[in-house]
Amino acid sequence: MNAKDFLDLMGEIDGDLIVNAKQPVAPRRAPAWRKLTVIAAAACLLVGVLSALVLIGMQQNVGDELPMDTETVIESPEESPPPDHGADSIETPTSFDTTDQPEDDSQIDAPSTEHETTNDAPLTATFSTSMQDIELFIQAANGSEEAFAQYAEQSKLYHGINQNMAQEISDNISPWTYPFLLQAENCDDFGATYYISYTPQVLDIIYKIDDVRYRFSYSYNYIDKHEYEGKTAVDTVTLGNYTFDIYDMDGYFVGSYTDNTLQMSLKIFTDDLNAINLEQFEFRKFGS
Amino acid sequence: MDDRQIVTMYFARNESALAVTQQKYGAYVMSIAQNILDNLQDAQECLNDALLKLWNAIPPEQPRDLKAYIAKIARNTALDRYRESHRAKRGSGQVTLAMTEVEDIFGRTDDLSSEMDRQALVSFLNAFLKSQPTRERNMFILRYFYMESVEAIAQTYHLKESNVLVILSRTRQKLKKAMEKEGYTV
Repeated sequence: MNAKDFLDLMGEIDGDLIVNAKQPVAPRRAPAWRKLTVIAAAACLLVGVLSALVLIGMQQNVGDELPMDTETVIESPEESPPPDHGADSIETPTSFDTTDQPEDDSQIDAPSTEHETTNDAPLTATFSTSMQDIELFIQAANGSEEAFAQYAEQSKLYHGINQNMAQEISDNISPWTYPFLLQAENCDDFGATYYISYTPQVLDIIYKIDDVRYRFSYSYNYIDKHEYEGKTAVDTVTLGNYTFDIYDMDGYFVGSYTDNTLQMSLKIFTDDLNAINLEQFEFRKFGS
Repeated sequence: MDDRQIVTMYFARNESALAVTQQKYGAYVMSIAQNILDNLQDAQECLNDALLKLWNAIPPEQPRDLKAYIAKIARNTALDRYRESHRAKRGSGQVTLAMTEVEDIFGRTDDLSSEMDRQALVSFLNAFLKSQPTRERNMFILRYFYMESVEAIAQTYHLKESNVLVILSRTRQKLKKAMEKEGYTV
């Protein structure tokens, strides 16, 4: 059968299917867990603002009452409580491990601050062993219910991530190319985290090789201005099909590319431009 | 007026049936034709052709679902007209784009040899579509039956175009795997 035959055959499908496909579609509503995250973020912001106002009031009172040379102790505001996900009583984790190995959080930074973030612990999926972890996740997300349940059990995937959410993550990840190390034995450390409750959703992939840390941050369905605007480029790099400038930010180098709805930001933590070696990566899609 | 009454008018050879059909389904047929033909005048002629074919088909046909029946006639008429005018070369437009999308699964070889193959494949396609989640199924049908653009589908479902492309691609891959499992060559 060729493409023309297929389109002809589509003309003969059941009438019910044809008519029902044209039914009106209700506007998308954010899933409950996302709404709760936004509510929790707003609540924490309110608590933070109120705490700051109280603190300012206290400082003014202290200033009025004590001589200028008296040392005062100012209490820091209380930590915001973790968000309450309601009747389901699902505790929000700071992160969770899909493997048995202990996680090295020091290697994984939160997404950069230009993104809208919550003040609470983000809901994340962490892949702490290798890129193959992410491939297994994508396969499970697109597999049968039984296969996904088995994967979730074996990988200790947080039970708050159901298959629908996993498929949404997979849909975001799948169209693009990512860095795979050509020689895995060169890697001193690896970590990858998908931030679900951030807006936009972000996948961070971090390699540490020869004391140089490479952080690839993929923001899906989001394009924004960059921290290096107004700076002069110090070099040009190529990642797969993308070539772009990088900029010296005093302590790290940064560059980015956009492709339709994807924005990828690369940060390389080193003071030495010559220490950067991107040829040790190949860029390809998951599953290819 | 409900569809059963309209079909009765066709059986009675009451020419008002055409006017009633046009009033009820004219816009629907035009949207199908315009997706394929991308030209208002051609789409209008396609509507006229579709109504004429309907008049000639009923009776003896007695469609259970008049809307779906006229949709199929309109689509086939528009595709025939499209192929006639694009015989020599491929142009732009939703039909060409749709064919390009499915060629990565079905290629260009022609091995659909018999009517029996055709009937079996239609049954298979129906079963496959019914096994899909509603959203994925409807998007697939909007794209490959109605030939709606990805942009239009994205607007209908309040999604980004890239999301629609990914969902369509995934469904095509599932169809390919299902066909291979059934022993069809793709």
